[in-house]
Amino acid sequence: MAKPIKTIQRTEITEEHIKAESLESILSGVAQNKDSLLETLQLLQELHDSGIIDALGGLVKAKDKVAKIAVGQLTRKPLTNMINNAMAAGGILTETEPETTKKLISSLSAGLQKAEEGLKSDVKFGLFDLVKALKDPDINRALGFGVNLLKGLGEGLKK
Amino acid sequence: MAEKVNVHINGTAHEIEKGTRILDYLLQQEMQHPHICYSDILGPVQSCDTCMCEVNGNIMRACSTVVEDGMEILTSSELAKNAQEEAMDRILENHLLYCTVCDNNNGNCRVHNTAEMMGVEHQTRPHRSKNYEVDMSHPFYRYDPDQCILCGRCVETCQDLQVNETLTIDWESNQPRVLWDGGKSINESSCVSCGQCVSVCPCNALMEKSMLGNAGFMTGIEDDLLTPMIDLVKTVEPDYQTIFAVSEVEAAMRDTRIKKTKTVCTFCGVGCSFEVWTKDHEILKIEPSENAPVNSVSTCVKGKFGWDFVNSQERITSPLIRKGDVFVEASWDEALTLVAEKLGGIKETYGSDSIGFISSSKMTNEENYLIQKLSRQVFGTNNVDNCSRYCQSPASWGLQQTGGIGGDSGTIKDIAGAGLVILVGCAPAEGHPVLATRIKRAQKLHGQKLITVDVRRHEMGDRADLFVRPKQGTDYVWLSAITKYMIDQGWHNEKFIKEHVNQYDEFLQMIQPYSLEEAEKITGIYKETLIQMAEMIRDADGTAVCWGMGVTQNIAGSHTSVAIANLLLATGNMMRPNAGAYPLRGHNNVQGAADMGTMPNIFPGYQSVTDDQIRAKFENAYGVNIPATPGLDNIQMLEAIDEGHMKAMFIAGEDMAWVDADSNHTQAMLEKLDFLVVQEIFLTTTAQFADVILPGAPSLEKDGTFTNTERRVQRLYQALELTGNSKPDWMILTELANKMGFDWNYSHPSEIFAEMASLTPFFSQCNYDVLEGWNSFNWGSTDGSNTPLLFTDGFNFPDKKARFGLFDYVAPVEFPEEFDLSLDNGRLLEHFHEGNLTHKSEGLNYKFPKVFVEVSPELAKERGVKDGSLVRLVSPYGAIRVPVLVTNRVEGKTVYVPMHSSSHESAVNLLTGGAVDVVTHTPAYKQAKVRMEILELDGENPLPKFNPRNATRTPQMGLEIYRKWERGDYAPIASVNEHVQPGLYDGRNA
Repeated sequence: MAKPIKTIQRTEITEEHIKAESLESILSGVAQNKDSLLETLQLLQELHDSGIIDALGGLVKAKDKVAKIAVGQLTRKPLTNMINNAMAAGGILTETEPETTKKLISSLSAGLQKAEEGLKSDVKFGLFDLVKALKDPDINRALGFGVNLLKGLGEGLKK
Repeated sequence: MAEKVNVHINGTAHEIEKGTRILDYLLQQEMQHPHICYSDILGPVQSCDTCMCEVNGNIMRACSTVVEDGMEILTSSELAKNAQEEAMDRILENHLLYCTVCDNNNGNCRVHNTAEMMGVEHQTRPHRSKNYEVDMSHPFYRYDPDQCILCGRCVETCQDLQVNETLTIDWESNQPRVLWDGGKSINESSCVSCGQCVSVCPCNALMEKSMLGNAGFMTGIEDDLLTPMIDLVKTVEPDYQTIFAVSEVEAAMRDTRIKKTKTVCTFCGVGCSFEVWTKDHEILKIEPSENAPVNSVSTCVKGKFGWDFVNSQERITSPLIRKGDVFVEASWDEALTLVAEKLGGIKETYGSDSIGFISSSKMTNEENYLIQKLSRQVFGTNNVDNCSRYCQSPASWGLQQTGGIGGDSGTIKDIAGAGLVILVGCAPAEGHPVLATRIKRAQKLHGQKLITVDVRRHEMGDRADLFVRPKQGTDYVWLSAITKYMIDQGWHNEKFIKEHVNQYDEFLQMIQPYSLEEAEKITGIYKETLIQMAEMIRDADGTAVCWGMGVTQNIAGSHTSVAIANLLLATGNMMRPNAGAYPLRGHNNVQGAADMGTMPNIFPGYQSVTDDQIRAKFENAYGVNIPATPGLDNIQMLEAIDEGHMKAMFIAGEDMAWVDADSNHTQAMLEKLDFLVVQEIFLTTTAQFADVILPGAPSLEKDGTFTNTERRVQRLYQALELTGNSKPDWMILTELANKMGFDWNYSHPSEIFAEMASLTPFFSQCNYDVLEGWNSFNWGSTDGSNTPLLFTDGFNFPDKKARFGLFDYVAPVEFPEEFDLSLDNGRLLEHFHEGNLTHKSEGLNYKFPKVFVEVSPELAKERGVKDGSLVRLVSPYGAIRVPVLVTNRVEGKTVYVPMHSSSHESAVNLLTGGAVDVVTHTPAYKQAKVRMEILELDGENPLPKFNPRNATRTPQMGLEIYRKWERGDYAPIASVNEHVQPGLYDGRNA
């Protein structure tokens, strides 16, 4: 003879019990990740010593306010201009062929090396040397590059 | 072989099947091409204009242009590109790209993806507001006109796919927008909350409220920060590719924390499948997919929005043991040990047959299989049944008698493709909403005819070409009379009968008494109407009969089901597509529960327990002896309790206390048991009688398969972690069997399915790999092959021939005169069953707060009651108190009470009882009579003003995009704007 029951007596889970369970799971997590935790602790200590944590904490605590101020600042005309400029610059960089950039950078480093050698030798460089240098195929190529670059830039400015 | 045409696409020669649209071909060939409004299931909506191509020098829509021989198609010529860009520019005038802080930025936003694919960098028309408020009125979704691109996919869907006919766009207005019922708030409109408009919206104009502020990492930001942020982005004017890049990074981040899991709906037997998006244990939304074999992008309100119960605080999260007058939480070991001891003891003392098992149509196939195995192997009894006993057993039996297989003849496509659909005693727009949409669509767009036969005039009655209201419980008679009349007229299919059906002469003799005159007398249907019905069957290319509880829950629903099969056999409407018998299964796994053998007389796959050879096969597999006689069904188990033979029951996932007829009696019987185990997710009334409650898991928290009304098996995948200390039901059963000393070691449902399939010919070619992802399998052949359409190789009898069923009419039960009102009852759209699941949803309760009694205007006048009057309904079995709703859905002295209550005040089964089906013992729920007493005259209308039943629809043929083209300010992009009739091209449901 079973009368219907509507009450459930939940097993009271004591605070102690929850605490003990939490601690246990944390400990096992610590044991499993000993190395990374120690490294992290070290990093934390350094961040703390330098006061960075303190600053970050303040920032996070005031995150809503800060975000509103930041966005408010960002929408000011000079700043939106700056962002637009930055993005435009970014656009140029992304438009340049990576192959060209690579070539340019490696040539630049080769050029710097030569220049440094020249500095070290401390030889006087006269007008005649300049004319003679124009005939040097390497220098000629670099000058051509520069002139064409200027021409392209000028065309771009016309638009 | 289909005829081919030769065309050039971007200079390359292609041979394409005649009649193919350009866009379909491009997509087939995986050639990227922009398009937003087009969809496989909707066809060319022709509103977004982004799919423009250059065809023979003209600008044409790829979505609506059919390939012709010699066509020169350029998809990205300057002409085409300019047209596409112009179209996108017009779209972006209506839509602000704040993707990173938009909840729809989940990788599947069509506007985003298309704009990005087209390489859009800037727009010439700036975004401007349409100056309408965001509509937040509805509990489940919102509309933001300022984000709406006016593609009209939602309108097309609402008008012609869901066919609820609520949404339109006012093309002639100054600033068009989507309207609900021509301009009401969403909440007050005729919207039935199916959510399909939200699902097909290609951007964030229509959004599930559960997603808002929830999906993204930055979308929860308060408005006073969000608006300046959007303003910032606008001022800075980055090119769109930068915006897309950032938003894609954010979308990728979301992907790591939003889980998308395919599942199968549990709210009816249609078998909709979709993805459920979750974040931890929170359900973000239901996302349907065109890959879903049954429903494609369609859902109903419960499938789309009704899952709150999963995270309800009322879930049982620990095993519970009755101690005194409380349930006390216990460990699994404690609970299962107690169950094993008690049930084991009862088995020892009183014998195996003193225990009964009730399985659930809501549980998976694997769990049903295990329950019959638990019963037969572990406890040695065939006393196992499931709740199809309460609904569909008569239909299955009727079809087994005539064709040899108790299941739907074909699939939802055959219903959609039929020339004529006859609905008998079923209200699919309420109970099987997505299936109903396919009938409504076929009728609206493809000329399908619809006859609805019901005592209550529901939506499908309103929509029918012919609505017929017979006297309750007399369907057998008109079915037989029409069959006889058609044979007499020579409209039957003599050749089909000769070749494929036995017992024709005996059948002719049996239906002799059912003349039209006799039928008119018994059913109340005029002779002329009967002739009209017969003519409609004669003239139709394929007749499909769908039936439900209005047939089966009668004193001889099994015989009526045979009469339906007889009519179909006589007219040759079996063994062919687009025709046949469709008993609409009510719950997600009614079909599967029976298929898995949780019935007293059969093993899985309808293999008889009385067949020595078959029993030997199972005895061999299970390593025990199994009784050679069928066990007790649900109804007999209760009788056995009363007689003192049945001492213990194991009830899994079934609130028998409210679901069986005559609830007072059922509950008295449960009280009498020595020991009751209930496996449940809530403390249902049935569970309240238990000695031990074992917390199972709802579908979203486990793996398994369900079998829908089409006999289609589909997999569900675990979307959420288990809640508390609950376990998947298959695991509970496994652990119990092990406690009882049997060695079950299933580690995944796939192993259970494999074991079942190895013992069951119908499933021999099916396994979890076959069912992977969106794939599915329709059982129906003894060789175990996939069989969407039954009987194409003959009926399931040794001679391959069907039989006319020779079972006579049984007149409805008589009641004493004082019970003067006929009580109809059933389910309505918003809720499921007795409401244990759907009453946990705030939104569903808001739209449909409580049950009521529908009273006809004439009866209301006679008795002096009105909307909101509180009445008592009294039957010979019990009484309930409910408010009145006056409506012409019911007529005369018929009243209707929805079944969605588990309250001692208002549960309809307190009134039903007594008679059962002569063959299957299904209670005759529909043959109930009551008297009505007025308690209080004035009261609140039980149906809120904002329930869709109170609103008026605004039907039209799809989006009517030509009205946009006719606007004075519309500058055409395409060289030709030719309106394509909606549904004319229809990838899936033509």
